[in-house]
Amino acid sequence: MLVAGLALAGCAGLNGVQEQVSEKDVAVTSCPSPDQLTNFASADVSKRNGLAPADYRNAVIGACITAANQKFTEYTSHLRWESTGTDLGVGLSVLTLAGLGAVGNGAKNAAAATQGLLGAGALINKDVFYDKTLPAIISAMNINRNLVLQKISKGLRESAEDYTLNDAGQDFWTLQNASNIDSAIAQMTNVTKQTEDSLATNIELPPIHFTPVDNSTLARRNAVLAKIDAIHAAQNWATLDQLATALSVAIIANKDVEYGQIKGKVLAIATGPTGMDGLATTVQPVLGAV
Amino acid sequence: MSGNNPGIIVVQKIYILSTGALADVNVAIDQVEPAGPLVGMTNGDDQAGQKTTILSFDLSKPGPAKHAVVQLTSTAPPASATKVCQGMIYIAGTLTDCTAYRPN
Repeated sequence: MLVAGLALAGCAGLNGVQEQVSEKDVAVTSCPSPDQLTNFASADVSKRNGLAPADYRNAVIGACITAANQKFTEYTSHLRWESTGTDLGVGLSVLTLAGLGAVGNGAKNAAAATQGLLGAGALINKDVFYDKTLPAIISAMNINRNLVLQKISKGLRESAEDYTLNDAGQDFWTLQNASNIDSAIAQMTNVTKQTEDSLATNIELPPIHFTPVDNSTLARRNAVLAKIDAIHAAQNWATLDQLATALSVAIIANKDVEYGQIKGKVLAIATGPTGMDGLATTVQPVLGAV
Repeated sequence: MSGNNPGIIVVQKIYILSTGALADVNVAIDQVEPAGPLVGMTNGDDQAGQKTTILSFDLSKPGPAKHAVVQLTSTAPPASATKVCQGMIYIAGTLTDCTAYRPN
């Protein structure tokens, strides 16, 4: 899998989730407060300012959501400010553009986004974090929040018996934690997995017209393929990456795919204008003479 | 295999002009399978609109030790071989039902 955890240990002052809504935000001790939960269930309508239970529930949760949205805005602004400041302590080595692109463009366009980004190649570096990672994390948070908001919105259209203020409070708690960085990373991981699965049948290399080659040329080309097989079987990814670079193939996290794309390039070059000699020259620095 | 994701395959399609004989198809398989196993065969137009046989190879896997052999589906299957795929491909200009077998 492409995405791994973020290490936030070294980031003083950075929270992993938005600040929770409190009394200073909605004039109650929590959202919803114990008193509001009692009032919701009370037979005395005056406890709810004359509102029916469902209307009271909607008013209470509506205020909570408004405050939470404000908190989320403040939180993401703080994250952006932190990212342009000093150390976020983020472990980036295995976070790739594929996952980021997938989230940034939404699951619907994930496959296309990832295909494009595969061409761009390479694991991300620290500069890319500031340009790509943070927006992707915030985008994932928004996806998570929107899912919860949809559930709350659906609940608020139901009767007070079917969707109680306590039910809404539970969902509101989930909403506030949807801005959790760990959840965002999990979301990115999930979308990346979906993206990879969606690519299962459509990584298609440019087709090649078959041209038979003589036995000598075939033996040389097969020797190249055998060396690539050995590198792959030994999981010698550093050498595989060197070969990818030599052949202008994108270095990606999925080494089976990178391996396949390298072999496709070998076939294409061997049957192209420069032929086997051109291929030999290209791979010689990595594989030696062939 | 590295086991990164067994669900992803890298497909290399090889065009063979429709005028090719069955032997030409088998030469193509013999020369391309060192890069990865044959996984499918069909027919279609190339980028120039020429009718072709299209062979598909999975390059995310190593080439098989024994190469597949295509024959007319109407003929008896070879002994001690495993069916790889079946499709309508061009044999000397005529679409023909063919099956590929890999020797065990």
